[in-house]
Amino acid sequence: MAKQKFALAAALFLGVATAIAGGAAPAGAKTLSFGVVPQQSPPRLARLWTPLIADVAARAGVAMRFTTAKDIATFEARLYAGEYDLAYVNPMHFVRAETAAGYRALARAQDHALRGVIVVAADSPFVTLADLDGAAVAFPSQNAFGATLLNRLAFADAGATIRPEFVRSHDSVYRAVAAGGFAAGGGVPRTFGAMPADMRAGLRVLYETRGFSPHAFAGHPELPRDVAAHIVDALIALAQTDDGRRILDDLRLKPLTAATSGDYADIRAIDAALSEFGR
Amino acid sequence: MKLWQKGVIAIFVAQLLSVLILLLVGAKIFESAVAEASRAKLDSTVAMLAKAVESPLLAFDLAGLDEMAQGAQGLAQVSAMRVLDADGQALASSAGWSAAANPLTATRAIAIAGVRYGAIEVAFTENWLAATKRQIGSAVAAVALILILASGALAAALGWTISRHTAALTDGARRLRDGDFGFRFAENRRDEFGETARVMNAMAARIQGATETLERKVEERTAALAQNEAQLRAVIENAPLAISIKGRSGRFLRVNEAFASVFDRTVAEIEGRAAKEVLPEEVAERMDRHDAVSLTHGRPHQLEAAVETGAGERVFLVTRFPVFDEDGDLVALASIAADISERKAMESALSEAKSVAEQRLDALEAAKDQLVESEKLASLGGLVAGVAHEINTPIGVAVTASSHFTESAERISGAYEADTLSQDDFEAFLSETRQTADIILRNLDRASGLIQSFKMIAVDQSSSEIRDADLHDYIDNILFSFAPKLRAAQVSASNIAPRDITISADLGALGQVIGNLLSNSMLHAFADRDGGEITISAEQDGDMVTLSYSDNGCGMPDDVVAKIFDPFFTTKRGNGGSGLGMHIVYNIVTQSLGGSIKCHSTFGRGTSFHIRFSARTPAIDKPALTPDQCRLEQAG
Repeated sequence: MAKQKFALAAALFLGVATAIAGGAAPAGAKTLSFGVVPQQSPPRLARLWTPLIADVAARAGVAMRFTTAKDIATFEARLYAGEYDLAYVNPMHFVRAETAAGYRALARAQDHALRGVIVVAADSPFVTLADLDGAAVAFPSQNAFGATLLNRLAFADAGATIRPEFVRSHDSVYRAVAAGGFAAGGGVPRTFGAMPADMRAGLRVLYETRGFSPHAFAGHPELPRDVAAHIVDALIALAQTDDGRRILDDLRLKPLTAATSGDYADIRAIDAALSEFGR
Repeated sequence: MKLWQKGVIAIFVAQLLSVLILLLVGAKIFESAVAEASRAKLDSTVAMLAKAVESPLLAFDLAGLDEMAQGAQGLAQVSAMRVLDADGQALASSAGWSAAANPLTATRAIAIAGVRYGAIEVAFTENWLAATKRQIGSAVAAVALILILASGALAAALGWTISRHTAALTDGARRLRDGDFGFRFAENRRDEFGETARVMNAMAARIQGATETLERKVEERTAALAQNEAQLRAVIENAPLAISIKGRSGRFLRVNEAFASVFDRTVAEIEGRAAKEVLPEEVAERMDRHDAVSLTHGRPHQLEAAVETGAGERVFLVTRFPVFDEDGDLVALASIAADISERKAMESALSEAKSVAEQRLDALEAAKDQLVESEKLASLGGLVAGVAHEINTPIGVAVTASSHFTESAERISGAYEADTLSQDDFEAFLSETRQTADIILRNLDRASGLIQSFKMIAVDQSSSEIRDADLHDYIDNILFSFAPKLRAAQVSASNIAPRDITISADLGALGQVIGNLLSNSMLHAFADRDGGEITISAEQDGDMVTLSYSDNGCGMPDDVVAKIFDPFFTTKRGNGGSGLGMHIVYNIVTQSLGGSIKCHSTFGRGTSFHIRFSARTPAIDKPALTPDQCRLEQAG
């Protein structure tokens, strides 16, 4: 009897403590992990994403915490193992996570197509992708969707055989090309636009791919449906307030809308070809 | 030990003490400062570790975290570290983590954008603080040692530099002291030594200039002094005066030939000796006595001294005076003696002559007083003569009438006894008797009046008492008593004084004044002519009365008018004039009447006197004037 009372008291205490620590999170609720693909350094990603996560968590009435992985490979492994309750992932990761762990598409950028860009040094002589045949080209990671896969697909379509080098992040790609370490580099318009202006001035966009379905906010299959619905509402609601729009702008994200599995059919169509480059 | 060496040691000791005191006093401050520094270092270590842990924590990279935790142990003074997640669960710990075993720990939250992602706890080795203190302490000690050595070296260098330059300055100053004013210091330095050298050079130049000027001035002064000395000697030698100058010791510093010759000595015999060694004993004693007076009073004084010389006794006027230097100290006593023997002889002769003259003057004064009295009596005598003459006539008539009456009475008595008396004879006798009696009565009345008048005048002139009288009547009385004289001189005198003036005065004096004026007019004014007019008037002005007397006689020239009241002044010395009449008038008016008298005269036209006196003379008994008083009044 005494033991039960103690357990109840402890539970109440912990609940209150969690409520205080997590703000609006419901008592006893689990803190949801929100995984973000480590396209940039973890502290930088954390600073970019924490405001959005805090805002959405508050609106959805859940506790939610940013997390990432030390590299994309680790992130993919954790994603496919279903370790994240929520994740912001590229379309290829999504279709594979959907297949591997049953993640559901919750939201995506509205009216936005995902593209890859191939940049060269501003003063370089390259004009077409074919000009880069045989050249060493930097990419962030093997399976980066826009920056690596879409761009390598473009090189393949252009008949250019390149020597891919993986430099771990988009920042590293741009810096390496600007520094002359590579003839070209693969990135996406969003991360390239987020680079400092002086860095961008030293680079030139040689090629931009066609658009594909954008990154997805994916939810774990065990995430309760009502919680998932609240989170989707909160994500969509971001664009409706000034604070929310500022958070989206900081992340170079367009206003969000609800997503379905069907939105990613185009990705599934090229997934086989992409597999040639990825794992 | 030289000053610079003392200075260097003092500086060194002071710095040593300063450093020691700094170390001792600052120990506590050091300790807290060290603790603070340690805490700061600890904080920076923790901050560094927290930064390093950020990425693996956010990436949930447990292997990375573990690697960090183990690696942290390699850091200096860090003994252990562990990483906690947002819920406080340890994600990674270094081997042997035990917060309890190590009291010195630090915890730091890892938060991004206000969201707590976890924390790190770092434990530091126990001796960390002590080691830091030792480290800082030894650093401080090293600095102190360097400071001491450096300051010692600096002090020594400074001292050596200062000593070098002060020695140069001292040498130079010594040369200046020894009179080498041409010496100059090197001025090439820009510091205080250079400045001092410049200042001392300027000083040396000024001293050199001043010395040269001084030497030149001394030469000039010496020449001037020699010239002065020559002038003084020439003056002293050639002065016809006996001059001597004595020093404080009493010895003669300088005497001239004139001085020496008084005592039949030479200058050389006297100079450098005391008075009692070379001068007659009596003279020397007198000199010493007067020297004592000069010394006591410190100012010049004069005396006459008789000295027995070979040429007999000579008298000198000696002027003795002290001589002072610039500070007012007495340095010598000087005397200048002039031979005044001749002058003294003349003075003596003069004095005798004066004495004789004074005796004669006294005799003259006495004679004058006698004359004044005689004159007064003479005027009284004149008056008596006049009166006697006047009375003579009526008395004579009365006597004649009486004798005629006696004859008639005897004649009628004879006739009666002879019985021859007829009625006609008796009636004629009665008629004659009445006529005779009438003549006798009239003439006796007249004599009686004259006697009354004389009595009054005589009494007035012989006494001096204040009485009341009507001025007009009184003037009439006087004129009456002078009537025979006036008639004889054919002079008419008219009294036009108003009848309402009553005076209270010494009437005798006033009568004598008017009498003298009348006599004067007859004696002088009308002397050379027949007849004349005299007018006496008066007017009252308050208590004062002005009596005016005028004649239309010959008048007087101005020089005579000026002297008219002087005693013994007369224009008729040979003809019996005493020259005292008007002097007496003056004296009586000014003394007895207490008034004043003025004389106006126009030569050839006449003379007038204006006598102003108080109508109410105070009733005082005036003593008779002495001759001296007369002289005084005259002078005043």
